[in-house]
Amino acid sequence: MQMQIEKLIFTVAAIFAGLWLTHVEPKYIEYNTTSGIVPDKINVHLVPHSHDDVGWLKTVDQYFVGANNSIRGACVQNVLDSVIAALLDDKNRKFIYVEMAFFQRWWRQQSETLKAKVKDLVNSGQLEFINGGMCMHDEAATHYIDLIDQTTLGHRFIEHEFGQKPRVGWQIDPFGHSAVQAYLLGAELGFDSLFFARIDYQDRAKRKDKKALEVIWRGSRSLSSSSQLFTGIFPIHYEPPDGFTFEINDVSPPIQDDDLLFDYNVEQRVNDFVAAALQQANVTRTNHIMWTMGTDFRYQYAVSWFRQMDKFIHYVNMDGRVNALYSTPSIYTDAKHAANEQWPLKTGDFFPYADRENAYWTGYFTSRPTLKGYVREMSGYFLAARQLEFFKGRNSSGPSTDALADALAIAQHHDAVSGTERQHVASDYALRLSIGYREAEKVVASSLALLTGLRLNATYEDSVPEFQQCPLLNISYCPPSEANLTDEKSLIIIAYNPLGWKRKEIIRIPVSTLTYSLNRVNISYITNRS
Amino acid sequence: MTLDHVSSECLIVLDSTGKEIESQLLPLSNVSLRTRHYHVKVNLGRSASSLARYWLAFSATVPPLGFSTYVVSSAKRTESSSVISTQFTPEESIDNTFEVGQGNLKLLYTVDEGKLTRYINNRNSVAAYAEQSYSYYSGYNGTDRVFQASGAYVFRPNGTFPIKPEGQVPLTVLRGPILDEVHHQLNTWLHQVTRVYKEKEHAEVEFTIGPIPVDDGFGKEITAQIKTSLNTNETFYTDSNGRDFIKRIRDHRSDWDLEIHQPIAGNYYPINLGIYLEDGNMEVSVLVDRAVGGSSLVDGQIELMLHRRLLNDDARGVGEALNEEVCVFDNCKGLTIQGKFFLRIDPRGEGAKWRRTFGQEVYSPLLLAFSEEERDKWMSSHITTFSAIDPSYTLPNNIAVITLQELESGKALLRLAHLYEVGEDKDYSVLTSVELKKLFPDKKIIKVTEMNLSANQERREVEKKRLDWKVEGTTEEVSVVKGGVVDPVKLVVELAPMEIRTFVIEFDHLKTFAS
Repeated sequence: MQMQIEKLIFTVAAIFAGLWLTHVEPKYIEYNTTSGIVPDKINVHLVPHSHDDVGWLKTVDQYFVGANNSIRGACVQNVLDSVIAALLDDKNRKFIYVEMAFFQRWWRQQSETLKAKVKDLVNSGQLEFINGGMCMHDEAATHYIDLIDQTTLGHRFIEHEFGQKPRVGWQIDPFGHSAVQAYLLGAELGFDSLFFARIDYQDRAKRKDKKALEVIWRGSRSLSSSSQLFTGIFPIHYEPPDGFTFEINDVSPPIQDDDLLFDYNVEQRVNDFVAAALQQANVTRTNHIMWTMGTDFRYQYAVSWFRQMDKFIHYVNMDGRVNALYSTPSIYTDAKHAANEQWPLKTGDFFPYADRENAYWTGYFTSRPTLKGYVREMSGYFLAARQLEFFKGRNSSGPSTDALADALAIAQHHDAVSGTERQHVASDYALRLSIGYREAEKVVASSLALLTGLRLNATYEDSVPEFQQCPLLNISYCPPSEANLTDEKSLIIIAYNPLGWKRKEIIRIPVSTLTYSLNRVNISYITNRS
Repeated sequence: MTLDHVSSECLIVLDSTGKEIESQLLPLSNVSLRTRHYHVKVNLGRSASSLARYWLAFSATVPPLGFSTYVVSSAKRTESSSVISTQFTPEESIDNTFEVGQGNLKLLYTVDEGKLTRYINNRNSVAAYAEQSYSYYSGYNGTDRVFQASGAYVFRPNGTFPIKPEGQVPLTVLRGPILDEVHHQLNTWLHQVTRVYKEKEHAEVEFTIGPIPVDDGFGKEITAQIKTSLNTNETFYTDSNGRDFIKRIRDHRSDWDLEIHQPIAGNYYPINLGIYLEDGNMEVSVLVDRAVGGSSLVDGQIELMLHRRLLNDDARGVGEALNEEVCVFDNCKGLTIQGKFFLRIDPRGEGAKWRRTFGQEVYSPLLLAFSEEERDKWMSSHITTFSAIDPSYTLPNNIAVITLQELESGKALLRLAHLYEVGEDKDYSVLTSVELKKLFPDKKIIKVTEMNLSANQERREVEKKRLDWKVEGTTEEVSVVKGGVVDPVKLVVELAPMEIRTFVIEFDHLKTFAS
């Protein structure tokens, strides 16, 4: 009853205001989005982000250009185009970008004029690269050398184009988290923090009770405190709190603050915001909480989000119960650090991950075993091929190992080597690996030709032997080793050892040896005693 | 017993010095031939152009960061040549067992069932009961998050079923001077070859699994078990991304009191390098050739999940069942996989050396390249052995080069990794030095800059910026050993246990070996 009376008075007031306003120019509201951290209030760090899978239901390129939208309406070009425009519109807005495979695709298509503007956005901190590898890699089915390589590729791209060094790990979606992620792909990169969403549901519940979702993680027994990392686990998932999602088809109520229109709701939305903030603050140490404002492939029409966040920041701060600000995980980390709080210690890892009683995400440790095998085989080959490329010297025009580097980097994505992508996407990763391999194979062959031919005089260079390799050796297929040998023709095998120590190992190759008759030596392959 | 031991006059293998070396021929099994026939079509869209009949096996010795040359020729009358493997089916035996292995390692099998029973290493007197078997989990057929299905993400078993050999024991043994092989055909879709190399002290198991039958309406997840009598007290160790090993205790989490709902799936962990068990006397280690899930569900036992074929989506977004197929044109069947795992049993405290050294060999196999030429001509006109590093030098056994590449700038990126954790091995878990000058004997190093792991900034900048955090309840800080700053003249890099150090190196000019 009380509510209804208030509502009535409010409505009457609004109508009067509306009548009055019809006689004046429509009002332009300048939203105050300048807020920074306020020491004695709960600070709600709004972190605008888009979680862009480097392949999952669609291939990486389909996601980028927005193809195959019947599967899922997702177009990363829309995200980056509209986010950049929205950031240029208001210098207080911020955005983080994570997956360099997508950013590179976008960047190389931009004009010099726009690139200059984007560099300004990066320099001012409005656009911040975090995580910064080519993809947000899986942490269960990946090898540490691949993780280092794919992160290096992205980080050096960012360094080269922007002179920026990512400060924060952002592994928000992978299905469990490894010790190596924390210390090696975290602290040893120079990261100041790591954030993610997925931990065991029982663990999360306990941590909420103890305000232990934010920890200092020492992933390595050996390196211990010298390689530790501030780690934040989200209280629910990597989306905003319920009711604060603003993609164009989302159902959260937008702030309606135009007196001339019906359904004015500023007060109600501010109350919603404060309530959600207090709820999160109750499970969080210090007066800083982070809202991850985005989720999968969001910000395809970025202003739809930023318009609402502008308003929330403006009205929530006018209200004054909590303080809302545009932020990034780096700013959040610095605030946590400045709070001088003590944090719980975490050792070991976050495996296995279950999101409910009967749902242990331990199947993907094995899912798509042939893709997993191919990725590992290519990883070892890539390491060796780069060594041989180094011995030979890179050739700016000839074949290189770069395509294999790229393909392997993308294959570390948490829906790639994990085996949790659709079949056509798994095929796309394998195709990219095979294309990269074909090119790296040429690098290897030409390097070995140089290294074996050192003693040859220059005239022999024209007939440098073509070295063949046998990627199908695992199915007993190797045309060069199966060739018929004669007095004039022997099989030459070069065995290259990528390890730093001498090794002794058995080589096995298929041969045809037609010269001897199976009957004569009386071999018949017996598989059954009959 | 069928026994053929024939020395062929067919192939001869020469090493880099032109010296003849021992080699062995092993006939391609019917399973290998079928796999080859089918998958060459899958991969190339046509049939194989050549006709492989045998594997030729020989032992190669290869210098660090370098190569050796081997020449295979048709043998002349005067030369001895490859030994064709002896082949037999173990039918008659006095004590119902037969033994495999020409070197220190012996595996004992029962004749009647073809079961592995013992693992014996004559060098270090390890003699252990060991069994190996396969089984499958029937995938839970559900439709949503309440009736949770086993799928691409989630493992939810609905019953465990041993895979027993069908019919008579389908076992074949090949023997020779290089290696012995034991072939098991368990059923029409599961075949394995166990290899024991004369010069190695581990067993190699190569499995071929698939197409997994699903015509009974149930998806299946295929596992291998290794059973030993070790008293492991619910404890096992699995690697983190192929690097540190983490202690696992069955039905236990170190951070909270676990409520158990899935005693199998909830004890599975990711494995990239390996899994091992130990008791007071022995260690059992299994290394893998790719990422797999695994556990130790019973004391003394190791389980690996090798293949999965499932018929339901597990309701986590992908919207497809994990039902992989391979097609030749429009003719599709369930995916067959082939892979390896490696088993070794050591006295307690000695397993790490093999896990780390052999782990590197699994990750970085010898890279093979082939050419053809008259044998003497090749040997006389080519470099037949090469090592990029100083001939008097080798990297220490506990250090690996995990990156050596030329950057676009012409500088080199070098990463060195210590392979051992603190306390992991009595000899190798120590601060160790690498001499850069000897890694690059033909180049003059002008400048070495130590970088962070992703090589986007200098390490000292990172250390300067590092934030200090207060940790609840910690008492004294353990002092951590790390390698010191690299002296620009001496150019010696120290690495402490588990340390990885990243360098950008400038040379006077990056000359190639051809210049």
